[in-house]
Amino acid sequence: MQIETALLIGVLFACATYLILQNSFVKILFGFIVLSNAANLLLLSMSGAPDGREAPIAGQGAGPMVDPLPQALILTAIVIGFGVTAYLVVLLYRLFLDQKTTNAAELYADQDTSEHT
Amino acid sequence: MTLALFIALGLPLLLGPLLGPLERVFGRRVGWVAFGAPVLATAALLWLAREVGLPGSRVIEFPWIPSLGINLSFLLDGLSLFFALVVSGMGVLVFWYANFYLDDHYEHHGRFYAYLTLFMAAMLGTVLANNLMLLFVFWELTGITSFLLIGFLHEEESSRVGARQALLITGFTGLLLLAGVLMVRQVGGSFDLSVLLHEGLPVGEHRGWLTAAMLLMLLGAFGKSAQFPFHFWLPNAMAAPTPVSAYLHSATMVKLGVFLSARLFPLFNEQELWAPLLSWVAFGTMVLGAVLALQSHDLKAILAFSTISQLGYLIGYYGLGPARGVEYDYLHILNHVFYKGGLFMIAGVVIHSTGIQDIRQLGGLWRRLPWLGAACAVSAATMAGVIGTTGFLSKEMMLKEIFEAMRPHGALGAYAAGCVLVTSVVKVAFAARFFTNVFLGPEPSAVKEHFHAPPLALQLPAVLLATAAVVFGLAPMLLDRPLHALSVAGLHHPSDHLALWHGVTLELAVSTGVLLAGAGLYAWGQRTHWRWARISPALRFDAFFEAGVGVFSKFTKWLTRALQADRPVSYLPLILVFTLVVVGGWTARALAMEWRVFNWLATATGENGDWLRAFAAALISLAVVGVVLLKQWTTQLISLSIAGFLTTFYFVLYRAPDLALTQILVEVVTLILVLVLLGRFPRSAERGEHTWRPPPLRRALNLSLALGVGGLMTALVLWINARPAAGRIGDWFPAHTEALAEGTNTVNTILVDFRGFDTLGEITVLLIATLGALGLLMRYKRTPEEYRQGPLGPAGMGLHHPEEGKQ
Amino acid sequence: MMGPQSYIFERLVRVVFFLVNMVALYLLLRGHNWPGGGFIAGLASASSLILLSLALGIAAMPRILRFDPVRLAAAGLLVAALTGAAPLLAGRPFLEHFHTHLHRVPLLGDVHVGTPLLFDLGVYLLVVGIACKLIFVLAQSTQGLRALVAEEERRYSSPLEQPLEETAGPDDGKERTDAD
Repeated sequence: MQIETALLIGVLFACATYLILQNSFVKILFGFIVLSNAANLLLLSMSGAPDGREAPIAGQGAGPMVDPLPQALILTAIVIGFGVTAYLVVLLYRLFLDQKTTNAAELYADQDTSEHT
Repeated sequence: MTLALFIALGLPLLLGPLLGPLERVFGRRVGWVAFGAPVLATAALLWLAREVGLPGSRVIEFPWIPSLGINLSFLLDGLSLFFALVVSGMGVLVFWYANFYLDDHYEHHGRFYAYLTLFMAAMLGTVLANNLMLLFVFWELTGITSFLLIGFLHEEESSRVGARQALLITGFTGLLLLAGVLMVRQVGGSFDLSVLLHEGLPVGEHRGWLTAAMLLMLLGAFGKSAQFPFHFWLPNAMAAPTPVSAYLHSATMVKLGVFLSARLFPLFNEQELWAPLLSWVAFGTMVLGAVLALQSHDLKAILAFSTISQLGYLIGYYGLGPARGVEYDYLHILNHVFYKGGLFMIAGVVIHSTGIQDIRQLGGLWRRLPWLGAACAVSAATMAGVIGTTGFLSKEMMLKEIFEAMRPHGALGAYAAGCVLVTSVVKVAFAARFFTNVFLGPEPSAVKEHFHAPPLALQLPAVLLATAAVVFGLAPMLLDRPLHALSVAGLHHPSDHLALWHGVTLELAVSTGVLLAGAGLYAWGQRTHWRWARISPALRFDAFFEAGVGVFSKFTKWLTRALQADRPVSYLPLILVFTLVVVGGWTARALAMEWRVFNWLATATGENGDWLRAFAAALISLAVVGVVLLKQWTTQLISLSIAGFLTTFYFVLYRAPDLALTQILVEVVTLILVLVLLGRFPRSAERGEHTWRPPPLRRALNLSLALGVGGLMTALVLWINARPAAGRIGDWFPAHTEALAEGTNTVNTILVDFRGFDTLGEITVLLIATLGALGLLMRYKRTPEEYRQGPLGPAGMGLHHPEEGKQ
Repeated sequence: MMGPQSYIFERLVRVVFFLVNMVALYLLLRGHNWPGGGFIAGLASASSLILLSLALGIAAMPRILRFDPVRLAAAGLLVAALTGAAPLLAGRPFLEHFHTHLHRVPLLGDVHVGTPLLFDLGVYLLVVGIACKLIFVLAQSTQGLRALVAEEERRYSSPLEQPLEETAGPDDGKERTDAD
């Protein structure tokens, strides 16, 4: 059983969702990074509890090995996640250069209900 | 026979696209290359008509999508060959006419003839098709080519509007036809007309379906033939060059509705809705069209409205036809082709040589164009139904049948008779007006100024058509044999011989009365100078239609704006709520079904939990919650990085050394990247963040959504892990990695060998993302000034460093 | 992004750069049998280059690298794709790999080599290329978009280029304006 992993995934997803729902584009970026971490861990949890298992290097110990497939998937996911994060970073930069703001509420001030304090 | 069919149908289809490039070689004379298409098609069709062995029929079939019952199947019988010959024969005249009409004032001759040739092929395909799906495809192709032809002079607003209206109306009603075709297929079990006509449609329980199918297919016919309420597109389609109007909008395309009615007649004429629907709509359109023609002043508009009227007459005729079959439909159609095609060409010549379209500004052209005047006199007389022309024959037969039909059809018959009488009177009036006001009377100065003589060859087709109207009108027995041979079982009832003089009958009396009444109406109109003739705004359906289109486009814009917001805050909650309700509800239901859920939770926690993992998980959670709670960007980023590095540790605990290595390196690079980004932002931007606070309600919503998503994911992970899979594909890889991939690191062998293709795709995506990011930075419009300064920008640009300057 | 102008730091970074790349090479070569591989090695090399750019200054990087990192990435993709496509010439399936054992190679002894290494090399080059390019380009853009575009245009644009349209572009506030 992986109750601690499940709880961790829940916390990560909750925080990512909360961050992505913010007005600040920087927070949305952070939320996205957290989200990709959460998704990676979710995939990892699918390989089952690692207790008493070996790393997936064949020909070492005689013991059972953990499932390598989620690991391969996550490895590509991490790198793709980096690519997308980089894209978002550049997007954010460009947005700031053009619009002089990093806040969706300010960008759409005409249709926003947020209070400007 | 296949060869002949190919020459008639395939050759124009192949030739069409070539005409555009050929223009470069032949210039204007490309029209004469295109002229070959209708000539060859006519010859091939005549040969086919001889070979088929009329009045029999023949089916030629090539497989296309046999699994769906859709084939390139062609039905050669009297009806299809009659229409095909009308199309190709009229094509010969129109292509000839177009070659003289489209002088050097027009551009893109190649394109024009390409459209026209493709249109002719589409027409031939429609009328020759045996498979209803094939018929639909060609049907829509005629709509598309007609759209291109109407919009040929696309620099003019009226052309574009007319083309759009025509496309929307005929395209939309074409889709109704498709729906009808599919219903017929469901009920009748075949797309093939030959099968359907032979076996008939089943009756009984499918009654409702059949009625619906008939309604839909007839709506398709009404749309194409510009019947009420779709009649308004045809006058606006007159923005096309006149050869197009003469071909598409009088002689061929608009007759597709007539053709479809004739084709469906044997299938549906027993339906109780058939006669009332066709008669009420078509005869009503007939009167409406005639009245509108009387009220118009534009040459082509008069002809367009009279075409609508005549099409109503032709379609309504099938509605009143007795079950044993109709008799003289070919005569009516031919008559219409003779005079309406001729009149359109005459109008074209007049417009071509004077540049005037308004009938009120024309007059006295007889002296300048005697041949054309004579042709016009004959054509107008044919339209009016004067004795000695085919128009007279047509009207006699029509009146005869209407009077016969009055008795069995009761009120409907009386309505039809009334409509025909009114229309005939009005038709006489505007036919007379058309001829006299263009060719007789004094010559206005505008005509004197603008007139330049048209070549005789341009007038030839109109003269030929007028001659035909007179010859067949005086010697109707010439038509007997071919029309008899072309008759189709089920549709036609063997007719009496046509004759010029039937003796003094009721029809003759009525006919004479109609002529006199029409002459009276004309005389009154001339006396009042047609000042009262104005189309009332209530009848301007095209204006209503355009308004409707405008409202629709506004509505779609509104809908798009409403559904597709720019900011995640406005649409994400909706998506998340939906996910929570659907996935969450489903999960909850699945969990509730397992009563052992508490029991199972107990075992889950009771198991020897890994305290090291729990510790790491707690630290990661703490760091990530820190990202949410902390205020400063930098501290948030640090917290985020800590979480990332701790995740590395978590990967180690899960026996994933590759992941741990990757994660730690990616974390480093991401940290640098985000740091660089945050360094770009001024302090003011970060302070500005805190000045915008969402309303409390929104924050509560965000929080509950976040907690909901978190809870759902936890539940999902636990639930999925509670039921171990029967077999894991993952166990296969370590067992075979050495034998198949000659490597021991299974993760790596999966990446480069087992699933190498995925990796290849993934690195491609990485490169694309990078190029996209570069594009974001590079792409902006330079001002002309900047451009002149060259790529290096103004002096000092690029050396200036804001941070240094500030310090 | 200007690094700290410190001689010690610069010297140290040069050593570290060398070491990290040795490790990266090791990770790349052993990837098939032990933890490592193209992604990891690529990220390691990329971080070493980024570190170097911190020490020597971003402006020095083009001189050191002599080529645009994005070309490295493209070359990597090409290598990987060609490795995959090569078996097609022999009528074998796409991406089939081949292995061979070399016996008694001087210094190394028995060596196992195969086309997966080539594929991994492609991945490695691509990852190095994109990671470096993204960081460099963002770091270079301190002076606003225009300087960056000027820099890139010097490299790529054709002298025959014509202005797209003679309309007024965005206002002249492109450069970073700090209210502070």
